[in-house]
Formats: sequence, structure tokens, C-alpha cells
Amino acid sequence: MSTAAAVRGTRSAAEDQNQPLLEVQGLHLEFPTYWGVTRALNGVDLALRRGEIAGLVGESGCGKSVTAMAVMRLLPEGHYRVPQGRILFRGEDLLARDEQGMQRIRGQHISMIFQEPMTSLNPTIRVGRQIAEVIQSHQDVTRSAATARAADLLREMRIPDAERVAGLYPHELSGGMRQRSMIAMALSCEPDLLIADEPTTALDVTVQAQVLALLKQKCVERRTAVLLITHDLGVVANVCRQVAVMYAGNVVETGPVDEVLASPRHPYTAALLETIPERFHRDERLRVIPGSVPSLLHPPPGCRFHPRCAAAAPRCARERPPVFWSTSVCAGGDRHGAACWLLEDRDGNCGWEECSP
Amino acid sequence: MSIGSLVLRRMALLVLVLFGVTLITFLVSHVVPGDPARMMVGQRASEETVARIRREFGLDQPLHVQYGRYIAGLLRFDLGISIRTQRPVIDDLVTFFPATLELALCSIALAVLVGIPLGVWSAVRKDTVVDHLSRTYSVLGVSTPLFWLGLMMLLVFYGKLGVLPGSGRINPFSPEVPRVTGFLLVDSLLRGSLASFGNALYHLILPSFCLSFVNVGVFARQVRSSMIEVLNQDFVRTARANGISRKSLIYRHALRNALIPTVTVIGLSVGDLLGGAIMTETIFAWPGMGSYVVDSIGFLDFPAIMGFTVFVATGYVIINLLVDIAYTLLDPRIRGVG
Repeated sequence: MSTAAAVRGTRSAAEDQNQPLLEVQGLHLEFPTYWGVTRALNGVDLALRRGEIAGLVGESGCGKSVTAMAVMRLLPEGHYRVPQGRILFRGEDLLARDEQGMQRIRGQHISMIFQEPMTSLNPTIRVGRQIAEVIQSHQDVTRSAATARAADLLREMRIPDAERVAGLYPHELSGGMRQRSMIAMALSCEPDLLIADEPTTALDVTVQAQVLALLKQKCVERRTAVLLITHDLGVVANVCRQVAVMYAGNVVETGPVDEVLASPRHPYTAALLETIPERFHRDERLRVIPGSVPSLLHPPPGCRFHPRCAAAAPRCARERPPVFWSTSVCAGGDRHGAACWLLEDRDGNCGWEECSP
Repeated sequence: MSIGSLVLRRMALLVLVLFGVTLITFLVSHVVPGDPARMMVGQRASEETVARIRREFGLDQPLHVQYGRYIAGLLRFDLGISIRTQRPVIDDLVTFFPATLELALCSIALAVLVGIPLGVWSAVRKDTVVDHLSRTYSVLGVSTPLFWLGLMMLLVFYGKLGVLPGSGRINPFSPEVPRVTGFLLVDSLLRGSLASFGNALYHLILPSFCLSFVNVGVFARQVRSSMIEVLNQDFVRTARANGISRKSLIYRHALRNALIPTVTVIGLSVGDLLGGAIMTETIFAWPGMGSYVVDSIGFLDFPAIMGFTVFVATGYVIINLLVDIAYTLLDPRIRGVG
């Protein structure tokens, strides 16, 4: 944290430390359905500082995308409820904003890129024009200035022959080029926060690495904070400094990437790490986490992971564990925390020592 | 596919379509009972006269020879001589066609101007009162018989209230508008006569409203369902996530994509209006191709009936071509492919 704040320079370290850019506090979110209420988010806590790149990982259906869509307020209005919780962006609760107010936030202060580069751009509008329209929506610029800026952005995303590409339609671009265009569009108004929902999942592996490196570089240059949603722990290890692991609508573990991946404290995180196949082991059986993500219509009581957990105790089925934090502060000022009863048992004062210097 | 090759391909298709259409109409018109030569000269004419007429019009020749002659004529835009009017069929059709087209275009314009916004409104306000009303109207529109609606409207607005004219294209006592294009609205403006223009427009109200009644519902339904589909697509979400305004989202991003399937429906409707003019033109005594062909059928005027059929079939092919051209303008993915 301290080094990062020093790099930022212009903003005071106190402001950064006292007020995260984005803070999701105890967010509960439910979808009323015909069969009952789906409790998609069950008290999600997240915090992200200016310029920070954080990962949000978990299996499909654990609530990663719902959290992101809730922050952007892109979920269909009237089809969901937020019984509890706040989404603070620069100290202001986004849930209190009306649709018009959100329109000014979206694209300008928070933007988002999605998984499907094939379908996420309008097939009937030229790529450059789509980017220019975003610029024109938020800034008082002429059409030609916005168009020129769009081409500049594409060039910045290392798209060769950017002027020509700006005049092409999305179907004339490759998947990687489309995703670069999406990033260009998302960064066009220099937002403070970029939410990237599985931005490289649909791309092939070599392109994935390029696009991720580009995304990281451009965001670091601009000091744009990134919330990177992925199920790929390898991506998290490469790109992020912070990580939050979600399971069935809860954040179960959070902390600096190095700590969390090296010594996971929540059995779910540990199991997730176990599933990564090691390279060059031909005859190895792929490991899986037994069972599957529970139905959020009837989630298990207590810790939602207990039915699949090898270390589950009777208490896990009754009481929901709070987050236990490590007693030591790691490099950068962050602490490692996990919501698991095992951590309380290990040490009387609900914590543990770690962070080798 | 470039527009040039599209046109060439459609022209080749037109030849095939016309061959099929003329063959079927020709065969059908020659197996129905009745003797056109006898119809022409009347019941009291002598057998010799009938035989002479038959020879004169080539009706004594074997069927395949008659068909060959007809096709040969068609290649020179010669559709034969009408038995009823004694004029070349092509001249008759050219006289009556503008009236039909004028009515068809007015009613389509009305249906597009009302139906598309209604569909958009209905999709954006899905499952609200507006949506339910518009959907109810759509079902009502599609299931109302045209002849019944036409007669009821005549009864009310012409018969009872007397506020709208019930027949013809223009007041017969208004000053003659010289024919240039055959479209009264255009010709009256060319002449500089606003009074005639107003009168012609006045006469268009009832028949074009009646003809568009169904299409408003058809277009609204089509636009509604494609808008709902498009509004759920990923690129609309992207646009929203980038703070694009609701207005631009609906009209620039969604509607353009939703119009692609709608154009097909509009094209089909124009085709139907040309062929289906028979009913409305009869009810509103509209002097167009529909009235002309109804009179010709009563007279067993085969050249006229054939000519009408050929005309309508050609119209269908041309409209399909226009629809395809509209596709390439609306959807860049179609351009450059094929």
C-alpha cells in the first residue's frame, strides 16, 4: 500500500487509506422467482482502492458476475431486491442513485468489459463509431474529435492500422481485436474503476496472455482500479495484487494474492487450488471438488461450503462463520482474512501469524 | 454480396418465376369452362363471327402454340389485346397501376409510421398496460376481415356521418388533373393545384386506413418481438455499461437491429397489397388494377387476367429485391459475404 501510494503522489495517502474507491458492504441480493427467492448474494464485503488490481474468483454461479452487475446497476430493474447492504463508490452509495444518475457513472467513472467479444459489440455500427459514441455521451466534444480519439485509443491498444480498423464492423475483427476494442471503449473516458468480467475466457490461450498484459499495462498507466472477475487462478496470480474468493454468494477468503495462493486458509480456496492440474504430469487424474455449488433457492445453513468440506465440524452446519483476520499486516498494508471456523480453533484469539518479511 | 450481383441474380430468378406463373395461369384459364370469343361478340352473334374472332385472337390454335405466342409477346412487353377493352393489356395496366400503387404506398406508410413506434413502445414498456393494449390491437387487427372492416367504415364515415368520401380517387367535379405520373398526389402537386392534392388525399383516407389496419398490428407485433430479443443481447448490455443514453440505446442500437427482420414483413405486406387490392378497390370503387381485373374476370378476359398476374408476380420479385437491398444497408454482416 505504502509504495503504491507513493507512486500515486498527487492523492494523499490518508485519503486513499481512509476511503476505498469501491466498497461493497454486507451486500445481500435476491431474485424473487416462481419457485421462491434465490438468495444470490449473502452479505458480500469487498474493498478496492484507487489504482488497485484485484481478482474476484470462484466457480460458476457463485455470485461474481451478480456482484459486478449489482455495482453497475445493470441487473433488470424490478427483478431483484437488495434487502441489506451498501455499494459505496468514492463514499457515495450507488444504490441510492436513479437510472439517469447511473448513466453518468457508467462509462465515465466505472466501466465494464464482458466475456463474449463476439456478441458484445453492436454488429451494425462501426467499431470506431461505437467508441466515439461513448466519448460523446460523457464529454463535450465534437463528433470528429471523438472519432479521432477513438482511433487513438485503438492504436494505444496496439491495434495495427487503427484508422482503418476504426472503420470496420465488429464481424470483420478477430476475437482478440474485438476484446481490445472493448477495452479501448471501456477506458475511453478514463474511468476510476474497470470491472472486467472474464475478459479473456473466450479467447485462445496465446491471445489471452497478450490481452491480459495489455489490460494490466493500460490500467496501471492510467491508475485505473480493476476488479477482474475470473475462475482462473493462474490469471489472478499473474495480474492481481489482491484477491477475493467467492463461494455461493459469500466472500470466503480475501487478501494479498501471494498469501492467499501460497497459504490458503479457507478449505474452499485450498480445494480450488488443488484442482489446478500441474503441467507435464501426463497420467495424473484431474482433481475435482466433490459435490457441486448448492442451489441458492435452498442454501445449506451455517457455512454454505460445509456439505462439500472435508474438514467440516458439526458447528459448521449450524452457525455461519465470521471473517477471521490474520494478526499480522502483510507487505502493502493488507491483511489476509477467511470465513471459516477452523481458524478460530487454531488460535484462541481468532487469528494467525503469517507474512514472512 | 454486392448490390449489382444481387440484382443480376434476382433478374435471373424473375425469368423462372414468370415462366412458372404464366404457365400455371395459362393452363388454368384454358381449362375453366366458357368461351371468350363468344363473350366478346355476344350471345346473338353468328357462329361464323365467333369462329372469325377465335381465329383472329389465335384461340383456335393448339394450347402449346398459344402459350408460345404469349411468351414471345411477353418478351416484347406485349401482353396481348384485352378482349373486354379492345386495348393492349399493357396499356390498361399502366393506366390502372398507379392508382393501386398510390393506395398501397399510402397504406404502408401509414402502417410503418404507426406500427413501428407502437412496437417499440410496446417492447420498451413490456408487460405494462400500453403493451397489453398494443398486443390486443395486434390480434384484433390480424383477425378482422378486411371486407367487413371496409364496409363498416363506409357505413359509418360515409353513410352515417358523411365526413369522408366513399368512392373514387378524387371528386369527379374537381378540375381535371393532367396525367404525368399517374399518381394523383404527385400530379396535382406538379400542376400546382393544392385543392386537387387535398381532395385526392381526402379520398385516400378511408381505403388506406382500412388497408393499413391489419398491417399496423402485424408490424407492431414483429417490431415488439424483435426489439425484446435485441434488447436482451450482449451489445445492448455493453452500451448500457458504457453509459449510453436510453434514447440512443433504443433507437440507434436496438431498433436498427430489430428492423432487419421487420423489413421482410414490410416487403411481404407490399406484395400482398398489390395482389390483395382486389377487395379494397372493389369496396371503395377505387379505379386501380384490382377493379380492372375484377371486371376482366367477369368478362373471361384471359389476356387481362394473365397480364395482371404477370404484373403482380413481377412486383413480388422486385419487392423481394428491394428487401434484400435494404438488408445489406441495415446489416453490414451481409455485405461482402457470398
